[in-house]
Amino acid sequence: MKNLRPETINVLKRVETLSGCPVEFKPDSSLTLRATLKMARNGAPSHVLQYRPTNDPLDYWVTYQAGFAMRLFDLPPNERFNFVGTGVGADQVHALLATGQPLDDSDQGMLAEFAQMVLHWALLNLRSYAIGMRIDQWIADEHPHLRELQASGMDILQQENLQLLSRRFGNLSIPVPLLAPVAASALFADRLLGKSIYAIPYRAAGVIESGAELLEKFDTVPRDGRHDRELVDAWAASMGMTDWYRWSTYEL
Amino acid sequence: MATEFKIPLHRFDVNLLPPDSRQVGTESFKTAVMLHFASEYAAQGQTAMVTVDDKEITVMSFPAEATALDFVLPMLQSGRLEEALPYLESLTKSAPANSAVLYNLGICYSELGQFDEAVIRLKRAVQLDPAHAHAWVGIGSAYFRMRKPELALDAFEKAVALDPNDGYTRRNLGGILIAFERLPEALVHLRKALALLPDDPQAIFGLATALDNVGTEASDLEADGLYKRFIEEHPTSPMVKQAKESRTAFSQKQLKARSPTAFRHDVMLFITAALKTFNESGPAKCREIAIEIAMLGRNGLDINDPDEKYALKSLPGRFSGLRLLAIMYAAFQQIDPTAAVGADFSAEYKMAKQLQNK
Repeated sequence: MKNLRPETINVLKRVETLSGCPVEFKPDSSLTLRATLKMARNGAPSHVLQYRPTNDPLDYWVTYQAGFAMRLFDLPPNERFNFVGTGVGADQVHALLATGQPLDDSDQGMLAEFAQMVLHWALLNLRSYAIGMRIDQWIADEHPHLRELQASGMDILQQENLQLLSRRFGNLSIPVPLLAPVAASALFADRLLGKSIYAIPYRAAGVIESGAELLEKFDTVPRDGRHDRELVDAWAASMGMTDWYRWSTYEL
Repeated sequence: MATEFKIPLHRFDVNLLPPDSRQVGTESFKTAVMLHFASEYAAQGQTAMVTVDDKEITVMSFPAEATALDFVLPMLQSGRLEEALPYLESLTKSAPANSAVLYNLGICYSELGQFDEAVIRLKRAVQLDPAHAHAWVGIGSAYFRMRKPELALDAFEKAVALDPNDGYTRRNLGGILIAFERLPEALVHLRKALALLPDDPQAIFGLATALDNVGTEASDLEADGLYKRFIEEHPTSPMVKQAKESRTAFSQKQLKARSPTAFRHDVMLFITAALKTFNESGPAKCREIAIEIAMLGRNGLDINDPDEKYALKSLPGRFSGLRLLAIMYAAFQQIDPTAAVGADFSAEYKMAKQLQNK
């Protein structure tokens, strides 16, 4: 990967040092994200940093992804955990989908499939938004040279998130309670970037209070990586998702 | 950069609206939703455009009123008026004191035939921006289409008073002055309009029409030149037909004017020869010749040039424009005497028939 700033290269070197495992770069134009870091597991020889080839600087996206790895490998090995779905939760999602929105026969037919999709999506969000906000705070605090790229990157993400408010599968849409992490992210982005604009759509969709509750927990739980599981658990409890996942020991 | 999102109607938190506007689907609900987002984004220095349909609310936010309007203008320019209307209505909620928004909304209503709505918005625009000459033109146009010519004239005069160096204001005032038969004044404004908008088809046509109405030989000549230019430069305009008819009428008028006795012996001789040809070749040939001349004459035959510059496939030889018109007149007298051929050669035709019968 070309044109990464020295500071970004240093972040990646830090990941390599902490994990004892090299970072391999792989361009992938089909990637939906700008960059993603697949951490080495179960004897894999390297972490893989996939990125979408572009002329725009990727420093923010790479640093953001590296942040997840740094928070994990900063911890002693016995405190490193994977986030794993339990397979439980589909019934709850099903119930959430079946209430509060008008469904016809066609929607009823798609309910089970959509419930699985939403469950998977909600689990991904639970962890990635909670810890991702920590990483954004860390970038803002410790990498001021990325300020503009971070503002632009967060703006892009917030704009993309807005599509979730109306995403549909037939007439089915993501239940409001499960949008809480997205609303928390909007509130957080407003606070970090000194705006009040990202939260407006979520206020209109009646999800801002749930988002504010998650943000409050984010502020209450200590910031260091050792407490990341606590933060995720607190958010899960708030959203009734506690038994939807479990923590398993991470092994390189 | 604009931000856009949609919220399904059932998902919108109606508690954000005044109690009397919470019935989803009502006009009051739609207006309250627009005002809600307008107010939320205005507090952040942004402009919101909101549309509400049967299923969802669409919100677009822009960093400034101007960029929001920039989003709508291409719709107006490409004639997508019904699509643009709800966005403009929404913008008036976000930017109630923006005369440009009100002007465009007024014009949009006017083009959609909702003249009362148009006049309300355009009058509000001039109230906010008394120097907005084009809004006065819009008011005048709406009144004119509402068949209120006096009010239209008043509005167009205000527009010119505000901006006498604007071709658009001059053109519209000149146009309505023709309707009031105030031709000398109309000519002044339309000449100025054409000077300011030298390629504007409506300015060309308007001045030609005014000159046509004046009716002197000099004004006819100038009008004919303008109609000719209009036909050449704007061949697809729906006004081309009228321009051609006017040119034909001029030619006929000139033709008659050149013969003090109003009788053209040359035409009578052309008709006599044509009748002889038709007699020899039969009605089918007569029809073929008539149609070919009519097709050739769609852009006007130059009947004032004696040169034999025309040729026909259906008839050997070369012909002047006047001779072709005479042949066509004679042919249509055989085929359909009620058809208008753009010339009255009835006296010449009558004499030719008398000669033929001797």
